[in-house]
Amino acid sequence: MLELTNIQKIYPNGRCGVADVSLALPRGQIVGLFGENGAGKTTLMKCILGLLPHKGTVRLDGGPITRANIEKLAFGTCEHSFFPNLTAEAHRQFYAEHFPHFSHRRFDGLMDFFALPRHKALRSFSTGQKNQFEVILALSQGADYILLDEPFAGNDVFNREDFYKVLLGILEEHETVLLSTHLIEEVSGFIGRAVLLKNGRIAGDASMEELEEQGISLMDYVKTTYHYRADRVGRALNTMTEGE
Amino acid sequence: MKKPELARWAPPGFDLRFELQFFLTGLAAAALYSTLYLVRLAAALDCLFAINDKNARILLPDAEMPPFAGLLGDSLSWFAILMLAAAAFAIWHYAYHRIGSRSIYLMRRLPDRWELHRRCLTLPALELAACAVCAFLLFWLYYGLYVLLVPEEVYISGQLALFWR
Repeated sequence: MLELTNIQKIYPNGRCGVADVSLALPRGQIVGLFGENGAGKTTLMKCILGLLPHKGTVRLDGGPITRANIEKLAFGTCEHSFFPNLTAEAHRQFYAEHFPHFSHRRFDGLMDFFALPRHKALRSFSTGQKNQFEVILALSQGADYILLDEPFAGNDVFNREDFYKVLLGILEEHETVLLSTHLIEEVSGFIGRAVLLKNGRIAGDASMEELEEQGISLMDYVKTTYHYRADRVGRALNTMTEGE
Repeated sequence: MKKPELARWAPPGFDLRFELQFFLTGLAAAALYSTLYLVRLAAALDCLFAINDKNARILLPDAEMPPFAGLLGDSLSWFAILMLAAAAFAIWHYAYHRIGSRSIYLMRRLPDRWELHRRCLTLPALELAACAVCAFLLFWLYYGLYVLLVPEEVYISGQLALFWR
């Protein structure tokens, strides 16, 4: 279980990154993390990983995150955390050297699935390929908790669709995925729980089962939670075209 | 015996050629610049003597030898500049993890907490050490030459004390 208690991040300029976020992620869940730009999704993930100083506690399987258990956390980010000058094969060696549970089998399988070149430096990859490789590394690390931050930015819809299927197929029972994305409708059939952030706070947290029982789609849940004004487009158009 | 791989002591994927070329060239240039001391020493020694009628070198009665510190001057200063460059390389190694990607995120979440620092600091530390050792050795070599070559009559003791002063 990954437990966050009262996580708070205030940036030096006074802006609130996340405020008082408490969340528990049990093993074996695929959790969607949604929110507008600047809602705090990336900040929250970085706080979990210890990449940002913050208030509050993060506990991993009952204990604090230390160097002894940090390998249980993987991170794939659209900012990319690989080494642009290294090849895929060199990354495999680096990961295998540092993460004892690195899965060569999964790495090979996903490299073949995405048909990525193994002996070309990452800097020569397209943006989509870079994203794919970032996700491959996160999934192959052998971690129990996989944090993916906007991993599909720049990938086409077919690639994403296939990837969700593959991900569902390869994930083991003990693996948890926290997936931050804007592609709400696309992931709605693939996640088990949705956590909504707004202005750094948790604005909603519901399992897909609950939503199904209530007959609400994920998109409607998100719109309701964010008080989405359906009429705003019409009003804006009226304002802009007035007098024409 | 397996040859140690230098790249394992540098940030992953970092092109070491520029740094090594810069450092080795700098080290050679610093050593070459330090030979300025030898030129000054030779000139100062030359001024101590005159040639007599029999074509022999004789020590001038009013001969005065400049102190070691004066002759050494800034001849070892390039080593100090090179040491500053080594410190700059260390900063560059850390910055490298934020260029083109954010590999700093990966390095900071490795189970081995020292991996990032080992890869960023080892080579600059070796460069610093190499500079310090070269400067140290040359200092004592040059001091030894001064003691050895300066005639006893004009040698003023306490040169090292003068140097530190």
